[in-house]
Amino acid sequence: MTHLYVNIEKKAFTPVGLPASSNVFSDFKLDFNTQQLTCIIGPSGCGKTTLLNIIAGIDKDFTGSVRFNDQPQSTDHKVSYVFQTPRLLPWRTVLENIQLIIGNSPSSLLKIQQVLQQLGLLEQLNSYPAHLSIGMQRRVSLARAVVSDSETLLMDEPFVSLDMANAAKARQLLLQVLEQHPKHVIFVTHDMDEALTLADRIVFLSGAPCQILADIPISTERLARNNDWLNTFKATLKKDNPNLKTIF
Amino acid sequence: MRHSSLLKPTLSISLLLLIWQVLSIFINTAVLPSPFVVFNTLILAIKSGELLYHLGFTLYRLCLSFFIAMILGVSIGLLLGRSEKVNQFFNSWLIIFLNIPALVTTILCYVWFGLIETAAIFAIVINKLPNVIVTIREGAKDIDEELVEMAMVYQLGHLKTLQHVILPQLFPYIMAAARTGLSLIWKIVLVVELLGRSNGMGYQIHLFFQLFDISSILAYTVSFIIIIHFIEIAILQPLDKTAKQWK
Repeated sequence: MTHLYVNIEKKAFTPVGLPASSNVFSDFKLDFNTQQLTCIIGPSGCGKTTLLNIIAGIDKDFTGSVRFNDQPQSTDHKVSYVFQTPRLLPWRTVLENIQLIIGNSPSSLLKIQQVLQQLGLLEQLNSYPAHLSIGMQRRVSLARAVVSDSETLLMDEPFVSLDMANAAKARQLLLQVLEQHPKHVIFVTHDMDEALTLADRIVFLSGAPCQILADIPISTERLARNNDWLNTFKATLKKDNPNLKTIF
Repeated sequence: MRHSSLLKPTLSISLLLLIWQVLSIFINTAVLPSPFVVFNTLILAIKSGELLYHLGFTLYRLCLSFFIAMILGVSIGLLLGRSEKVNQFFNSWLIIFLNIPALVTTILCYVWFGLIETAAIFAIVINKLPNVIVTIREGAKDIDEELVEMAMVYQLGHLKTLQHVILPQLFPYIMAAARTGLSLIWKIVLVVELLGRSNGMGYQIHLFFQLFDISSILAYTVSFIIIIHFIEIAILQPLDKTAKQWK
């Protein structure tokens, strides 16, 4: 079994124009089983995005380490990232955006077409991002992250601006695509129901300085997670963990 | 649409020529020859090969110094725009170089390096460089950090990030620097040639000035204007178009 260890001894955040800096993380440890889909829930501003950026290697301004199977983080641990915004290059078509990441060999073209078809985007293969709706751009961003040969897929509230029906649809698509391209997923959200439908494990975080409030494994099959199950699970969670009241 | 886009500039140029013609008739002096006289001089200068010889030298100096200044300017501008520390340190240098008159740098280059081609090219580059740096620096400050982060996460590497993420964002600034740069270099090249070369348009115009040959001066100027329009229509505008394809 492979693991991803995150150990943040100290991560300070200095707000612009303020002299005092406050710690977002101090002595924060979290390890991920890479076979699982882990959801992270926490109040806004608690440092969820910062945590993902540290894992992604974008944010290097912290003391501590991110290790993959006891190796220091290096180029052989690849991550892909679905950001809150799609972050597509506007001067490249859908196909060219994804080809930039995985190359333009015939085999990668096939892989791209397959994923885009699954996400209902095959017709938009040669469109520029500006000609797509925001929902489509998000799906392209997901396709890019999924086809990349990464071990870990980071997702930062990827469905936040979609309405409930479309978000549910997007979650189903995500699960379908992950079946074809299995990856270790770390999924940040503030939506309890979203986390409960997707996760193998939910980690609840507190406000700054960020601490783990609860770490809940979910073993129920995803297909069996209907509305009744959701309500019962939430009720038990609430009873067993009174410290989670800020989340509910 | 296509008709009016060609018609309007033709009309406005014709009006300018008409004003020139009328003025030259009214004033009737040797210092303002009519468009016809200038046109004849131009044809004669082309036929004799003299104009093309000197124009060739000027164009050669223009191209060489333009590309050197653009490549250096984009690199340095990018560096300054991306690093606030480096920018703060070198900002005062930039202000100094921006404000040294072209005449001063040119004379200094000739005095220090001698009346040689390298000195001429160097003088033009030194005059042009600060403008490119300033324009590209503004562009580099505007680069979308989110896209750069994306490139970092997907491990695109420096070269691919530069080629596919940074340079496309800088493109409008590079075009702006190229346009203002071209018109600036034209002006500087002539000064540099006038002061220290024995060929080129600047040298010829200096000669015509001493001979008081106004129609030749105007004929050479017209050949300039034609070349500038050619560069704009044949090179810059198509470049603009291809770059805006995705919008």
